[in-house]
Amino acid sequence: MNTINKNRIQDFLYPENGPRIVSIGTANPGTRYSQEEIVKIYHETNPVIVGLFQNSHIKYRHLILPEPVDGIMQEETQEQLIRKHRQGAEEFGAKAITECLSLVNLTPRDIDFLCCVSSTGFLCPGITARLIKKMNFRENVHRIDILGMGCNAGLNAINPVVSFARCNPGKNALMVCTEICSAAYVYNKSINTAVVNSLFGDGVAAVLVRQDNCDTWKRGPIVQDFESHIIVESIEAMKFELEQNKLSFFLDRDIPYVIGMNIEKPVSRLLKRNNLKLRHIKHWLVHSGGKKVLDAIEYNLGLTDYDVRHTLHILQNFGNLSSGSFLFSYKELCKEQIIEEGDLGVAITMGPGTTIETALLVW
Amino acid sequence: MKNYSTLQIQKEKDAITIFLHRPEKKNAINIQMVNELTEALDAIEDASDIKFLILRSKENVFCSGLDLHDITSKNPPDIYGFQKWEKMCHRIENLNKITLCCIEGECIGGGFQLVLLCDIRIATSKARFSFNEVRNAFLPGLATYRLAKYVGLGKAKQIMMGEVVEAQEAFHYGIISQVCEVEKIDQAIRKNLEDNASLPLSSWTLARRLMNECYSTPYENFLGHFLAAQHRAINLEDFQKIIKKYQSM
Repeated sequence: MNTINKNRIQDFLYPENGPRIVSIGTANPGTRYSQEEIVKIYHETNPVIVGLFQNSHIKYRHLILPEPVDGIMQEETQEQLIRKHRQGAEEFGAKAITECLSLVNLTPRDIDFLCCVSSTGFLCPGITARLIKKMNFRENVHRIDILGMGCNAGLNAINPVVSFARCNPGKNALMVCTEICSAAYVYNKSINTAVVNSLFGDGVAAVLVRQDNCDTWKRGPIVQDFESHIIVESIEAMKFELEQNKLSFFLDRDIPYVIGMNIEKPVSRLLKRNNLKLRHIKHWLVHSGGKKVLDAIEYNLGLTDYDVRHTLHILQNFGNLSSGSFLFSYKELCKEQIIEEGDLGVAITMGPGTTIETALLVW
Repeated sequence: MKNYSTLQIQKEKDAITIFLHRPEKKNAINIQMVNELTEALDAIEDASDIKFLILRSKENVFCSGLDLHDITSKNPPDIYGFQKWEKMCHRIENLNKITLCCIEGECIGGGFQLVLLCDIRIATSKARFSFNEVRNAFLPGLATYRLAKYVGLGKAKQIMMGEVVEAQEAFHYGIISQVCEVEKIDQAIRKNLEDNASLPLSSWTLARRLMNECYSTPYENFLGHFLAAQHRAINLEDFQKIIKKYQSM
């Protein structure tokens, strides 16, 4: 009971209350493949590409892949990829939402604000509309679709979700990150596409955010503050390109270092504004961008593998899950049951722009 | 810096000296000392005008280990106290300063643990090192993790069983980096501060971290860590200054 007093940081203004992440649900679409299985399915023999798949940092990913015909993987048309994204978003979005809401005994009818995030496909009407129809949300639910912002988008999106919750105490806001990365999968035996194809995995995460005096730190953290950082000189470093008339994600090889060099800027602004030091942050929830970028973040912020253990676990077992990835790390942290009242956390996501998004969490 | 009851702190130019100070208890470590050390570290870590932290004592004894008198029926042993100690040790080991430890006389248990955390370890010829924890039926903290890296597993086992290591032998095993005569200790400290006045903290703290990790990180991961650290180093001001200097030569 005295934990909060024991851990209290002198100059930090602990919020009385605020919008909390009170529940999380996740779903992993398709089939769980080991990296070796994917190399086999695609009959990959180029040693450089095989090497990319054999790195030790990723072991498994969930992907929606077509059935091979006579042992040969068939190329998917753009139309098939769009359909895969839509169907995956609907089916697994619904699954993640159901898990998230059941944990707090709510149904889609209780949701006042729905925000859907995706960068792996373009739909009109958007994912919110399709999920509202599929899951019978109320007809007057506010909604917003955030498209094409990339891996950082989960924090960009939770910002307005948190604002809605702050302005509407007692109302329920739901954010769903639906990334069907296998719908942005171009297979052309080039190194550029192989880098992406060996990294990204399919995953959907849904979180419920609300400001309610009945909720305590045990339910989840208050999302207290945000800080952004965009590095416009590197605007071309991560982007969609057209490969055989399909969208394929491109990653510049220097990008982990660019992020490493800049990571201190938003993090120190976020902490300084709240009278905090790095040593006060107990939990780090980082986007599972890849091993190199995690190394760069660790060495530039002075974090250890232990500090980012949840993210290393997600990277190893699911790959880079794009916008919802840091929420998968959050779920891993919750499973540990080590959080104490008054603990502070920082969430970090990185993506195209080049951008770094950060948020301060207070339990 | 504020006043502490178990520590005395002196600041001289860019060096802060923390004297362990419980003379009536031969500088034995109690929970108050752990709390005060932690608090002092907060201030030192944030002080950008400080480059060196020196740990030493004023008596003929550096530290007599954990204060077992501190544990009573009213105040039973608490694993969280040990956790706090380890957290503090980890912070000394990774502090954003160059750390020195000066050992005069007995250095037992927790005191010996402190020595293993520091970058530069100077002892007088009268210093004697030992772990009394296992003999007292508990454990010498993460000296179980650090000692063998200095001395090898074989010698570490001997030391953990209570063997006393004299200063010369401690020097031989690299536990301490320098032995000097009792009256020359201040001079030795000054010399070390002078020698390292221009050592960049940026590259030293990165090199130290890599070396501390090198025993437990697989090669592939370590290479990634090294590249991340090197990229940071070559983009920091310290390296840019050196390059400019070479360009103007």
